[in-house]
Amino acid sequence: MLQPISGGRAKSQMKPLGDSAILVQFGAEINEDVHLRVKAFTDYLETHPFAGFLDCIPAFTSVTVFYNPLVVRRQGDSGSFSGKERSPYKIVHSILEEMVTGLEETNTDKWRVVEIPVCYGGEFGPDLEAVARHNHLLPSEVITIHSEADYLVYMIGFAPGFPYLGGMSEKIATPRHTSPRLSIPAGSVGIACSQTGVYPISTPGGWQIIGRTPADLFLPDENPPSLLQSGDVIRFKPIPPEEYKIYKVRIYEHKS
Amino acid sequence: MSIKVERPGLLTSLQDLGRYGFQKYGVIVSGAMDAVSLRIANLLVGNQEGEAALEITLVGPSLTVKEDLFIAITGGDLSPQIDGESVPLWRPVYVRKGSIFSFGACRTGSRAYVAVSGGFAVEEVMNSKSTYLRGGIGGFKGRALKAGDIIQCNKMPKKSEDLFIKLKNKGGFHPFAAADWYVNPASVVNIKNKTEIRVIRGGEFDHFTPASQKQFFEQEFKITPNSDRMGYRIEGRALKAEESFELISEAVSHGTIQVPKDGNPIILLADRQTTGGYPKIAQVITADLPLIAQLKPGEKTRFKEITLEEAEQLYLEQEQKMQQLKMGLQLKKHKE
Amino acid sequence: MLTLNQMKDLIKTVDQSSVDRFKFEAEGMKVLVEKIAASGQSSERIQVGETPENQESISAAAAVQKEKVDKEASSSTDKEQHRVLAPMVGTYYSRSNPDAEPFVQVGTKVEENQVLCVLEAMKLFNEIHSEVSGEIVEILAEDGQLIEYGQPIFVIKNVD
Repeated sequence: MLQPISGGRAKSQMKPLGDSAILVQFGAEINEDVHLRVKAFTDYLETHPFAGFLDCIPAFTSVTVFYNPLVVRRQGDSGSFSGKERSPYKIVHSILEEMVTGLEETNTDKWRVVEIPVCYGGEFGPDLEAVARHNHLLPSEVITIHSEADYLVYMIGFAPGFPYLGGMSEKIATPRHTSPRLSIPAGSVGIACSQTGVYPISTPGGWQIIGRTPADLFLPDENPPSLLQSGDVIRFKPIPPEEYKIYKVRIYEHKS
Repeated sequence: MSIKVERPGLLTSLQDLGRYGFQKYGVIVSGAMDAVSLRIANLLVGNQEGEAALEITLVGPSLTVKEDLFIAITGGDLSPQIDGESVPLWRPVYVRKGSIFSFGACRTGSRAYVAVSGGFAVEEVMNSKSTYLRGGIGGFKGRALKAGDIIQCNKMPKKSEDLFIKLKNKGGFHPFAAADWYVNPASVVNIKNKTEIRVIRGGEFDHFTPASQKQFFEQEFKITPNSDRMGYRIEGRALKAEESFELISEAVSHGTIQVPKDGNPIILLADRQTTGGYPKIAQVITADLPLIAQLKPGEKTRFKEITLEEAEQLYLEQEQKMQQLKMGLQLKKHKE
Repeated sequence: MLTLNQMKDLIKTVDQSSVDRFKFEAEGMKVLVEKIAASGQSSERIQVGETPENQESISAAAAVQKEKVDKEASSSTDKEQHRVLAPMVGTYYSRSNPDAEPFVQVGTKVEENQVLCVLEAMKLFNEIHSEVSGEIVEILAEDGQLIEYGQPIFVIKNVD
């Protein structure tokens, strides 16, 4: 599924996200090519942080870089920007631009495969029927289509340990709810447009919920605090409701 | 040194300046909603400005002070009292062992901060003492305070001892004694214009209809009851995107104003999720985030557009004022 | 902007020298350090301000005292009237915030220790307390005015 990509230069576009962050765009579509550029840039940035760098969020096609404008400006005053550019945004823009043009893409020919048990429909998947109706399918067909694919973890975001997955079939794509639900149970498996993912903790959200997993995706006492990581490959394994509690207990006991 | 929680109040939790470095695992930043008030509270009692403090929301707690404490209360005026007597905000206060520290009516703002000299004795989780309420980690046992909780405080730094002793002597047998000087928050934050929040255009501003763009800056928005540390849901006439589209999920920040399909914007705040898929119409400037934190449901506000350069300038000016304040406090402690 | 350590060194150096008055200007700020002898005790006054290019027109000031202010030397000798003198440099404000009532007005009866006004310096607002009880006869300062150390602010008449 993943093909090694080598050579080439990452292209990018940048724009501000407020006055203390900058979004670096690597492409317009979700694909593995763009994903590898995102990964390469993130890895490089984290191992070569600039003065004032606070954090970054890699997403499907972009990386957002958070910085402290005061620290950036102070460095700018003394470094190669002195006298010229006073705007912290412009200083960071220059730094990142240089990083991007100098970037080589990551090669990869190995990845982890993680099997995630999911109980579909019923009380665990209140939107399964809506997804089926929207796509002119039976609920059982939605389950088959959803669980037979291999999914690439593009990024972790939205909630701790929440994987954004690529590779979902267009046949079950369904738009988000118009108004987000105020609370969705931990472990819920959802669909939003062409994306699918799993909620690791209880949180508000607008996704269509088709099932639930007993697995813990958020591991606050571990480093990294997430079961899944960018680059992993996921397979969903349908389980019947009576096995849900068993799996839950099994995983818990395995941990202790 | 410790404090016992008799009544927890509406939502009282430990927050510092947030948890950075783990957003790529989806671990949110959290932290104080009004970071300026938090920092000033800490500076007033001789702490590092980013030390964890109690963030108190609308209805404050009732606490028994088990040992002499050196505190400062900043942020909104939630009628703090010690043994029933009104305590002034924005200044160092000595509190006598055995006193009851409580709150009354919410007079101005909506969130108060209480810093204790020496800070609170809780473990850091992923480099921060902020409470991630939904994630159940950080702060005091990963949650808001409950009745019966006992929170430990660290020993106060040496540089605070002189002022503490001076106030203690001034207090005598009285339950508390406050310094006769204070900080005026209006000298750091744009409190005078708190119902005109300054923003810059968001990444998807151009995706909204011209009528909606105009409307966003002209109309008054009301803060709905569905508002909390994650974000404030605000209401006005619904805003419309040019065509129906959904963004590929990407990062959001503190102050991002996103607009779901129903057209009612959400201002994302301290406990926001790391990424979102709704179009972003604007971004609240960092310098005005403390103002948002002090608004409460039912109140109204407007948005005023400024440029990124102006937003950066305002941020840097605010930091300069904080720096002057820090120097003033250092010299003050020398004098005392 | 001077760092705190630079400021401390400056105070120390002037104090230990025979220099009485020391002034310098650097990018963005100017500093004046002056020794004032009163009743044989030395004290220093430091004034920190910003150059006119900066937007703040009223300079921020900080005061450092080595000895306590000698009350007898600074109080008025008039038995009927008491002048309240500024114990520090700062900007005078008659009220705690723009929306509040002034602390006192001409004619207000005050008690010992009552707050009369605030003097602001380096973003800190210092409450100035009355040393006597009586009635405010005159207010000698205006809102936003920069007050010098020792400058009279109030005249209070003894009423009994």
